Amino acid sequence: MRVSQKLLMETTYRDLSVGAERLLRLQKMAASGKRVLDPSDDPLSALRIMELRGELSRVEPAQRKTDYASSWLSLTDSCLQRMEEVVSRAKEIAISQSNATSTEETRATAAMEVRQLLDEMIMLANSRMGDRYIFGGTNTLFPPVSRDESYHVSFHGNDQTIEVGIGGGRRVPMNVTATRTLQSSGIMDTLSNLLAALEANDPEGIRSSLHGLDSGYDAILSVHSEVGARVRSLESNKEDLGELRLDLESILSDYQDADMARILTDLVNQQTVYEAALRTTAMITRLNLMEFMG
Amino acid sequence: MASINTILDIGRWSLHAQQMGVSVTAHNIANVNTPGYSRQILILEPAKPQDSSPGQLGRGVRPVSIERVYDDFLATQLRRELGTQGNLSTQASYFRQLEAIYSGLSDSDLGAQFQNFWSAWEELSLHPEGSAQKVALKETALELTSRLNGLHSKLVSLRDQLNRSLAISVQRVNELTSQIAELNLQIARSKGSGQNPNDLKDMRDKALDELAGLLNVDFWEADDGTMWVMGPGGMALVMGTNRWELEVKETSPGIQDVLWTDSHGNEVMMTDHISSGSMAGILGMRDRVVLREMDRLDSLARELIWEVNTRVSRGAPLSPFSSLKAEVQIEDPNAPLFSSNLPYAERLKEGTLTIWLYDSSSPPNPVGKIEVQVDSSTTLEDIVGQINASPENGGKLVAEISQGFLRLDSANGYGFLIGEDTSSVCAFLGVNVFFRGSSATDISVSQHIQGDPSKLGAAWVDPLDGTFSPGDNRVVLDVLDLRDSPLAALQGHTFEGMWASAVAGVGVEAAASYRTSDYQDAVVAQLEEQRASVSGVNLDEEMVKLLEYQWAYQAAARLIQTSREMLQTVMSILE
Repeated sequence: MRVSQKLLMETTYRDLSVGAERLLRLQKMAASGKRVLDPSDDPLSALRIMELRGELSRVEPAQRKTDYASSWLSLTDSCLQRMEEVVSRAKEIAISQSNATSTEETRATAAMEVRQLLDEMIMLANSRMGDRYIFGGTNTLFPPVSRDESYHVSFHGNDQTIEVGIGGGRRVPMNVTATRTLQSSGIMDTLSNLLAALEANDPEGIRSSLHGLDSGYDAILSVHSEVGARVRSLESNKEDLGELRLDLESILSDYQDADMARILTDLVNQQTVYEAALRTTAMITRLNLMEFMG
Repeated sequence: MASINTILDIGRWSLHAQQMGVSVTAHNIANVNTPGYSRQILILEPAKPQDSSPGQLGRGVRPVSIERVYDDFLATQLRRELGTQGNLSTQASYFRQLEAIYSGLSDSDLGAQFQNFWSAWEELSLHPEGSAQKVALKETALELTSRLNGLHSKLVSLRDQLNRSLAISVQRVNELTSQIAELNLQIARSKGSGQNPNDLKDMRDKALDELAGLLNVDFWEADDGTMWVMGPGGMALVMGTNRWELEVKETSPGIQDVLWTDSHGNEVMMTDHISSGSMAGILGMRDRVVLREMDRLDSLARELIWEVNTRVSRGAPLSPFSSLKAEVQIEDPNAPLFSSNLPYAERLKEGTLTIWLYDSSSPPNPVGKIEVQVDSSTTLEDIVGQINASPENGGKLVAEISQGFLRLDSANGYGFLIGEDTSSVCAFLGVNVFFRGSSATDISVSQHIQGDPSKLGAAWVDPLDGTFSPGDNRVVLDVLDLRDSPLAALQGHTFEGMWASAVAGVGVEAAASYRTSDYQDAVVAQLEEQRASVSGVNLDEEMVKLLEYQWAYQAAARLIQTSREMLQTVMSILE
């Protein structure tokens, strides 16, 4: 093949520019630490990277919401625990004050305690997480339970559940309502009646509250065991999310992160090739007849 | 028998020929770097011999012609490949720009903005009472909408850039055809006078190469040496010394087309016939890629606005509204809304809009409800009339139209909320909505929410008794359901999925474009190498030729000297 000056120069120019382009690419990869710089480098990996990022972006809010729901339910759990104790105590009082050995004086003392127990029940039912009443259904900004001077209790909340997404498209009810826990079993009324009977020194009345106290206790207990199950399920969800996050991060890293050792080796290699190209170019361009003619 | 004069004559012709050879070599050396230059060679022939005894006697050398070394077949092949290369490399360079605009793998692309947007809704689902969460949601939504606006306007400027490139290419085509026609004239003239217009042909070939890189052309050389060039769709560009101009015209908004004018002055559309060259690349990129991506962003924005708004419009904030203003202006309040040409009119349904009225106690108690019936003949005036005339209203809520916008104002001591709306008329009019606009260009957060983010309603109004509660997050959960729902209008993608597939789709096309463009570069390079090998100047070769001609010149001079001496010898006999 006949070699003209133009051919020589064009070939040299092209080879050098291809070499420079490869160097630049490797340099970009080394600097960013990324394997896929543009979607066109590897469109399928790019799609996967974007999907994985999308999935990862859901994990953190899900974790935060699980944490929040879990502390909400833990608070609910301890309130219910305390309510059970209060009702148990009221039952003990009712039993001890309904037999014949009790007197008007002991009943008056017991009435004072029941009054406190009733107030504690109301306080527990009006527990707040931050500024939200946890037993009020979705009516979170108003106290769900109140009483009047004569210890008549009224309810203001609703029976709606607040749902919260905890990842994986799952939504769980976060709250239990005072309506369900206290209002439907009539436990508050039972307690008011017990109080009235104690004050009136009426053993019959005291005895008749026992049944109400039992069913009220059972109602709280059944809500409580449900809350316990939810807390456990949230704990395991928390662990699952933690693992999911680690898995996603490691898969994402496989897709997007560059293998540094390999890139640096390639870079050194490509540098050598480029230098060789420059050197031979310098050598060849010096070769011409004019150099040898006097 | 040859006379001494004949020998002198041979010497003279030889001097002349060698000198000419040096000139041609000098011309080659001088043009070693000239683009499009083909090396020239001097063709020498022995002169017509003279009959004599004992045989024909040579009469020296004659320069016959100066030819350029040029392979027509190679040139034709190269031009075809240049057309393909122009097309592919243009597309590749615009794909690079598009990829940079999309920057789908950066940490702040539209996908990331979508993620932030949904995360803000997630936060709100946890604290539906919170005003900080609503402010944060408004901010992330504004980032999302301004990113959509920005992406769309970058695509618009890419389209405009393509239009400008098209106009510049057409201008260049006109310059080149005018050059070719001018060169045709000169070449025909010098051919007619028996000359070999090598350099003029080189110039014309160079112009043809460039023309072939711009658009698909057919060409052939006529007997008189003129080049005839046919453009796309067989529309003549150059015939002999006549030429036809191309022009660009905006045929629809944002779209420039290429037009060819025939000899009767009729304009013919050429755009669809352009199938190769960088103009084909520009048109393909604009019509098949950029416009498609603009549509894609538009439909993404359009669906987002509608889907979010239809869910949010029935939302109740912590306390009832005292006033609401619609976001959408209705020009003719007496025209049926269903058949108006406003965005989303086709999505209106026959149905009922419920508005609940409240007193000002804390918490507010529902004191009545207004039902507005919407069907295909309903106008804005009808809606206003129905609200004001509703039996349970009694002046508690006043509806009016101010400059085409629906306004709802409650009387002192009363408030109102939007309940269920089976007609979607609230989302259509932009009453109690989250977004405004209808495309990627104009999407933004509604005035209503921008003015006071806490007016975003997270709760549903109970359709039976009109109660609502602050801890209710059902509107938010309803909106969050959107994140994972595939939408038919987005070809079965979710919002994020649509974006990811757009980025990946452009990535696939770009990768293919870079690959074919690289391959085509190699094809063209190989042909150009062949041409450079045939037509290019080799300085060493020219040096050797220079020496040859120089030596031959010296020898010819010696010949003249010898014949002069011979003549002197003869003359001296006479003395």
